[in-house]
Amino acid sequence: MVISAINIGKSYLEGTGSRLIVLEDLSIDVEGGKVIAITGESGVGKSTLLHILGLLDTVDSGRIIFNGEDVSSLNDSQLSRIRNSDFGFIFQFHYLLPEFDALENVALPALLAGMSRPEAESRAKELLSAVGVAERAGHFPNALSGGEQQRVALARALINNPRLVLADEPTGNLDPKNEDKLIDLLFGLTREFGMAVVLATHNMAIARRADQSYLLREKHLEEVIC
Amino acid sequence: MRALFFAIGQAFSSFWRRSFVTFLSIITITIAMVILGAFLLISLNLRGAIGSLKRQVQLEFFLKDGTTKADASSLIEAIKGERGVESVEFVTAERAKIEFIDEFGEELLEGLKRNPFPPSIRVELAKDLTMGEAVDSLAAKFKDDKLVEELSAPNRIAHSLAKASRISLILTGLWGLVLLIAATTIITNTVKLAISQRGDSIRVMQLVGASRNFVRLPFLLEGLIHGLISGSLAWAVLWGLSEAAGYVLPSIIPIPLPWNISIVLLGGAFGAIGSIIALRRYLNY
Repeated sequence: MVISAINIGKSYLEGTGSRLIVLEDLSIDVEGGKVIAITGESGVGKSTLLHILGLLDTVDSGRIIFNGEDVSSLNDSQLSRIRNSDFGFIFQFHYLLPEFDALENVALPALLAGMSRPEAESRAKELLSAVGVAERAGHFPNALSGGEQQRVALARALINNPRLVLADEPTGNLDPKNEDKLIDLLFGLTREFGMAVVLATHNMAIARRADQSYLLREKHLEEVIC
Repeated sequence: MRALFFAIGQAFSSFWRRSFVTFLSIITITIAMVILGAFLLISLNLRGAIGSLKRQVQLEFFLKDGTTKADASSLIEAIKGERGVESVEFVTAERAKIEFIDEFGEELLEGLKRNPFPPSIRVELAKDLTMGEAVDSLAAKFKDDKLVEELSAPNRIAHSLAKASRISLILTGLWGLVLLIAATTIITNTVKLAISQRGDSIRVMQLVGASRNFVRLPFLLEGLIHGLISGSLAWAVLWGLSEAAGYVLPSIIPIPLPWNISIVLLGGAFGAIGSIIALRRYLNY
């Protein structure tokens, strides 16, 4: 098991002072190499769940177990290390650093992990090639199309060979052609490298391609069987 | 060490990449620091002016004829032991005459067969806020002393100066506090504005596994550098201002070097602290 959420609850304080409960007594296990899709309406808490699984947010109740360890006992630098070495993130808004070119954006997590610059850049080039944007390596994000930016973000998510890739509506801003291309790459590359994927999406066609699919509704997850 | 090199590289490269924002930020911090420094210059000179007026406030005990040196010495010792006394000086009749001649000329004394000036004891008061009370207390205690013929005690002036000192201290303190708060707010908001453009970059850094301190360091250095540059510019502007003011008011007291260095360091501290405060909003993960 890569990561497990056990009976987690999450709420936010609203402007009115009352608490909005987003997740309640929710559990999910993410096995290595499996692709899990989370579907649900907008605002239902898909992103919140992904943030919690990505150790970007904390829970009010329940536990998150990563590598057999409860993450609530970990400090900021330990959590950052896990995010760097074991997780890869892809978001709807590509979140590339505008001051770095595509190659530097992809190499950044490897550099943070302590890899030498030549090694990190060589690995980044391989991945840019694998996602089909090798010739755009020297371009800055504002010179890349949405589809290209998202493929660069995918390459960046994969550079440290993470155990888990978290993708939050990764195709939300793409046209159908680029959407298919990105999902093919995401599923193909993560399966090739044996990585687990948790993917939040509105798109049922994409969800059906996952190994397991859940519907997030009224604060709970329900497994979709067909 | 790797994080430090990255931070330094980022801090300096940001100067050129965001030259307009950097320029605005430095100018704003400089203006805030110049306002603070100008206030410092004004309050220093105000206090200096009050201090020099205070130096002119003296008590003078004129002694009776026939006072012996030993009697005068014991009175001097008694006065020295009083609260608020800075120094005590014995003025002989001869010296009093010379001082009079220096100030008013010899003509007024022509025809007089003997020196009309009695010997006296001059008391210089400590230039603190209790000057008025000190004058009252010394006058009450020694004006009826058997050796004292007459007392010159500038009670009203001493009280007025002490009151002016007190008011100026309160006003400069309050105004200084207001300016400090205003400068902190202006600088923090300027830095916030500069950082708000990079909210996404901060999130990306955290997503790819940079720790909070790793993310903070380049911003901290950038804020520090902006602040130090602004503080140095403010120093230069204040130096120019006090030099220019020196042509009109030659007795102007310039800002002392340690205070100037403090302005530069304060600018650096403002920049760095402003960055940390501004970053809190973006370091969500």
